[in-house]
Amino acid sequence: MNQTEAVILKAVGEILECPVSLTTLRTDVPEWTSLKMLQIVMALDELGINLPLEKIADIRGVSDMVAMASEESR
Amino acid sequence: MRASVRGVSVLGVSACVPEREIDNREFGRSLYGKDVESVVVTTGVEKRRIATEGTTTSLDLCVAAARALFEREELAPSSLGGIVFVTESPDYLMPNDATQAQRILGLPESCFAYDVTLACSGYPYGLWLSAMCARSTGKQVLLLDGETNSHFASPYDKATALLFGDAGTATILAPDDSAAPWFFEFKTDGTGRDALLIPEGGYRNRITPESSIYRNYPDGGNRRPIDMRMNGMDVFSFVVRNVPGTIESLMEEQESTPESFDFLVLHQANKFMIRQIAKKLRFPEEKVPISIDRFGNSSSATIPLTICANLRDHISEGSKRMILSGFGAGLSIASASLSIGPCVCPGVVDYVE
Repeated sequence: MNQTEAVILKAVGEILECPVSLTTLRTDVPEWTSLKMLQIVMALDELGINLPLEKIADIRGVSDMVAMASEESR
Repeated sequence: MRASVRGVSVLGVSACVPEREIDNREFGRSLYGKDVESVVVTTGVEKRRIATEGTTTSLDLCVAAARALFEREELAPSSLGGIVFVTESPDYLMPNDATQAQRILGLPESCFAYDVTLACSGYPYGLWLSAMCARSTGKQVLLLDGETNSHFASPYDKATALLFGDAGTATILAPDDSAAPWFFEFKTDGTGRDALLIPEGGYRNRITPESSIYRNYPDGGNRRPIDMRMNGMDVFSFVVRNVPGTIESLMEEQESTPESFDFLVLHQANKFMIRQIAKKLRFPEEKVPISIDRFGNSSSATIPLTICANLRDHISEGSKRMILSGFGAGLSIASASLSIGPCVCPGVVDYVE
């Protein structure tokens, strides 16, 4: 697991208050509302991980966030 | 769609909010529990002003805002040629609010008066329509823009409970051959209708005895059919994908850059979204005023309310070049580029019920 993955997993887990993995999908977690999605994006932004806002609605789960973060950092 | 109007200037702008202030951390505690702090931080709405339903309407708030302008002797109802009233929360389905504002404010019977049914994109649309009316009549026009959104946001729906505040605003425009042209950019996507919808109370689904009964919906919200239903992610996605482009288009039309503008005044939908749009457009934070923290989201009124709350001294003393952008229900975007000031600006006045 690289650092970006670790940071994203920690942030998502803390905000959703449940254990998550790289394969966790939004549909797996009832508490993963659009408001929680925004909180996750804000938290990651403060940690220096920028997800493109126009693609947030396309995020299906943790792996999508990791992929987007990796692409943004290139 | 691009548009421009030449030869109009703003003589005055004012805002009025209910005196009653809600502290969201207290209000939201029973609904969100310990999560209320993170919700307040995420939305940016710490406090908002609420009018008592059935007692105070957007018409009342807008009339009060207009009266604040008329306290200045250079602005008088007798000088006005007409009223344009932007609202989605009128006193009645019939007649419109504009004709009632004519009666209450004592405007001449010769004036025109019409309502414009638009939500968050309403103020730039209102400026465009009022500007054309001012040019075609050669008279001053009173643009009233107000909402009591809190009255159709369920306090039990986590998607909307803490967002909305109430406000009324008044702007007076006048023909002015020396004024620089105003530019507008519009975008409409009616396929996004369901992102922000009040299902019952119109003529598609008339009011029934069940319309005012709270119920649980599949999206997790608890609300009445006469309350707003919001899909926050669909609205957010539409805004971030489209708003920056309309503003860039406005700047390109004028061969301008963010450095050419004094302020970027965005509809106060969400503080994080405002900051991110500004960052994408390369507007520094000091040029992007925020009022959602104190007043919440009052739909189309947020832009003039923000101008009055944050930029009063600036526009009272000099001319400031601004881009305004409103976006929301429809889905609809309207952006405007214009200079405001020097003009009359009493700021934000309180409405005492």
